Amino acid sequence: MKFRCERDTLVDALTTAGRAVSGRMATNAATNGVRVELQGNRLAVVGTDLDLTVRVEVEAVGIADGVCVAPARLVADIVRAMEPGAVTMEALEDEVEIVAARSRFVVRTYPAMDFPVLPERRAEQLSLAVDGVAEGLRQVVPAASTDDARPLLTGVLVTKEPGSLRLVATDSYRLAWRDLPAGADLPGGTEQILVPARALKELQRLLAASAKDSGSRSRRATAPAPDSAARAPEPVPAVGLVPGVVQSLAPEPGSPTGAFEVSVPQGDADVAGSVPQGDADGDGSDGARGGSPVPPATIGFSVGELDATFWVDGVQLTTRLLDGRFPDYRQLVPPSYPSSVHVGKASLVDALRRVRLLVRDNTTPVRLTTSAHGIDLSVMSQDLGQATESVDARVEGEEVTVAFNPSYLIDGVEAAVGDEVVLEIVDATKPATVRSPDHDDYRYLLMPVRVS
Amino acid sequence: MLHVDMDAFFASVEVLDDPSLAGRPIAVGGDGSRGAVASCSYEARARGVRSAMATAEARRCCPDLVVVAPRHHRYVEVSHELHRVLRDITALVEPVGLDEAFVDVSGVLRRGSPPTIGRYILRQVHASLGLTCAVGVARTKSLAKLASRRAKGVAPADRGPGDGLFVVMPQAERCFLDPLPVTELWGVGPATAERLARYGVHQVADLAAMPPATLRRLVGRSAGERLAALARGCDTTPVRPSRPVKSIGRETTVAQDLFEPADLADLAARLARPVGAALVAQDLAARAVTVKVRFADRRTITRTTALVPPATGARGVVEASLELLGGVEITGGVRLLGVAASSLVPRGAVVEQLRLIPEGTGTGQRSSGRTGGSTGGATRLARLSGDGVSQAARDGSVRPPPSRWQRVDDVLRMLQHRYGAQAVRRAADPGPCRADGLDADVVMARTLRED
Repeated sequence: MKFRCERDTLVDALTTAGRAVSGRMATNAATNGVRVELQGNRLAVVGTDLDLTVRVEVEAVGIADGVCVAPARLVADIVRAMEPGAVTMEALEDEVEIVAARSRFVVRTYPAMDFPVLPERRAEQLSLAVDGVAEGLRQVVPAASTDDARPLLTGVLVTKEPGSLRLVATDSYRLAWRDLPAGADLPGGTEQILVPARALKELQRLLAASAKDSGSRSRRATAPAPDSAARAPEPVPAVGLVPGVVQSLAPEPGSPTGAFEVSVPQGDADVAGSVPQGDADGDGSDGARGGSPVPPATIGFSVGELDATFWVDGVQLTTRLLDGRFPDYRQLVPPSYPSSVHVGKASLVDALRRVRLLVRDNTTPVRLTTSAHGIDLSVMSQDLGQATESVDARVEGEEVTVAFNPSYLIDGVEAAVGDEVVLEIVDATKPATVRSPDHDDYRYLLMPVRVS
Repeated sequence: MLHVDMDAFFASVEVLDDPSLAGRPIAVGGDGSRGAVASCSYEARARGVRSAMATAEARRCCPDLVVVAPRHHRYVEVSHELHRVLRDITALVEPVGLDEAFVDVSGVLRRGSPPTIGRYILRQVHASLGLTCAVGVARTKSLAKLASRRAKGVAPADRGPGDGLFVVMPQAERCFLDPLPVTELWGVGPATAERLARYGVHQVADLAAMPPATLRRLVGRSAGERLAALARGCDTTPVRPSRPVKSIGRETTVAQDLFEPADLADLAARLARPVGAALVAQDLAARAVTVKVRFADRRTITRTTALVPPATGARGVVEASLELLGGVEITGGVRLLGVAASSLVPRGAVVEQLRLIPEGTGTGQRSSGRTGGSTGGATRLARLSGDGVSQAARDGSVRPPPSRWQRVDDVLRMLQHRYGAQAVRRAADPGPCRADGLDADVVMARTLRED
């Protein structure tokens, strides 16, 4: 294997794939490395910890096809430290040689045979609007548990709803869900899957990176869909199938197998409008290797028996699914709320952040009391002192006092879309909800803190 | 907030000790020429005898008055008994004199509503002391005091069951306060009352309606502010327990230096258990646990850890101390070990993040069937805490069960309270007594059947 590649492109690919490589010494030593494979002018870098696999494909100047498995962090560090410009990598017998400008490194590699065989790409896939997914992940993923003792709660439930897919996550204290419009069922004929939140956090990172990249340099070799350049500026970007990285494996757009359509509601049109304009920018000219830099409007998504795969902007992320029954969250939603509060999102979050300054131990709650004119917030800290705030709000129903973990409340309020949120309260011991007054697709359930 | 006020305390104690005095007008006080009445029975009051009246004058209103010399040590003794009864309920007891006390029950509402606790106090004081008292229940100390005074309006002999208790519900505070004469308020003596009367202020309602600035001019700045607050029912003074406890600890020097981590752990558990029991008994939660280790060479170290959530019983203290000791190198031998709980807060001040989903759900990869089990747990626990299960079912929400261990602590506390501290202890505690304790879960099941 031998190829030449722009330093920044290579660093990006090595670190992105390397993020899936676990920091601990794995039993299979080869999984401490990334698999680097050249086929023609396409360079694929794969990292895995057997639960999460990230495969990045970029354009390179191919000299000799081949493969090597190189220590992930070390090689990324070496390439990153090189002088800017082209870097040449060549696999030797059990070493890899990295040369740039007047630097030369020879690094021992792992046997390529030992690297795990990764799942084949499935043809059947759903495509989802990038913006909807990005927003949904932002709203839901933080609610997932990080406690490995409760593995099922470290996952995000993706479940079929009429006309949409619902993302649900809970750490047992709060629960968030978001409905993403989807014209089709989950691929693979499943009703619901449980995706590790860790994988979705990586997906969020990829989406953020691709949003930053798009419009400037699109280093990754995303082959654009035939009509995507024309489609991108349109208000409904998320239609049809993702063209995919490996063109030969992807069904043709509009082909009868696995063609799912994701419609974007009017409410999201403004977000779609923010998609940068394809190759209109100047950097497009240096994209001789990358083709026209079109930002992705969709995320490809396919589901297998044991794993699920996402495609974003030349990166393929495969994650093992969690096996088990997610708690029945629907029964947690109170049937009615005696009190509801319409309040400005920014003023509530600002006030909560201020009173939270007195919370140092993460156990001190904020007390929230509704009155005719608004809500009063107070934090009393045994050690530090106390703070009160009042926030104007439209309050309907009974006056209540209820205490919450301020950070959990802030999370839920910030995640709502729009300038206003509705806070619905039963009493001091039952779940409260946060939602947008005009979007019914997001819901945040939050359990109070009992104070005696 | 509860205010407990003994009925005719000194006189009642005298009747208790000498039943022949029962039903007769009694005054406790000096019988000399300058003697005064310190306390008098209801029979004597009916005849016009009042506290602080000169004994001679009292005899004039009531010629058959029995005047008894005060026996202060005996009253202190009975008073201690009263405080013990109250401290069994909560550590937040503020004695006022020998025969009154404020009790903050906000931390022990799992025992029942404040009126329920009030009735319990009435019964318990009668059962343990053989004396009657009045209990006022209200949101603040000053209101509770006014309420107990109102409860006293009925003489003990004329009281039916449930009398002796007066409850001011928060929404009834205005109705209760407004018609009261201002002299009922703390700090309104004859002079202040007269000054207020000149401005047409006779009732608390008048006072509450008065602009604070005017009131401040009238009676002075701080008194004015205090009065205005009292008239509005605002009173934030907390109950100050007479003995604020800073930390609870045990330590011991061993006869032979310990070298084995297991022996050290045994000893730590033995020390930590009574510390936890003291927390339970005093209704406190510890936000920190400290172990102190003195090595064979007399070098002494302490290690402290903050506890989130705070420890409310033996389990938390034991676990924390074992964890701390796990990080101590003991190859040099240990001659002294100490375990202390500190950063103590009333258990009521401990907050609990409630759960949407019961603890233990989502632990297994295969969780089917678990939901049923945890709902059952919630039901059991709801019954244990006296809440209606049907309520939870009707709301369609699973009531989040408080931590099981906290429940176990509660049950242990309840049993120990009822049958004595030695009656039951936790089998799961590490330490040498592993085999002979009752299993806490068994205890729990049994209590449920009794209930």
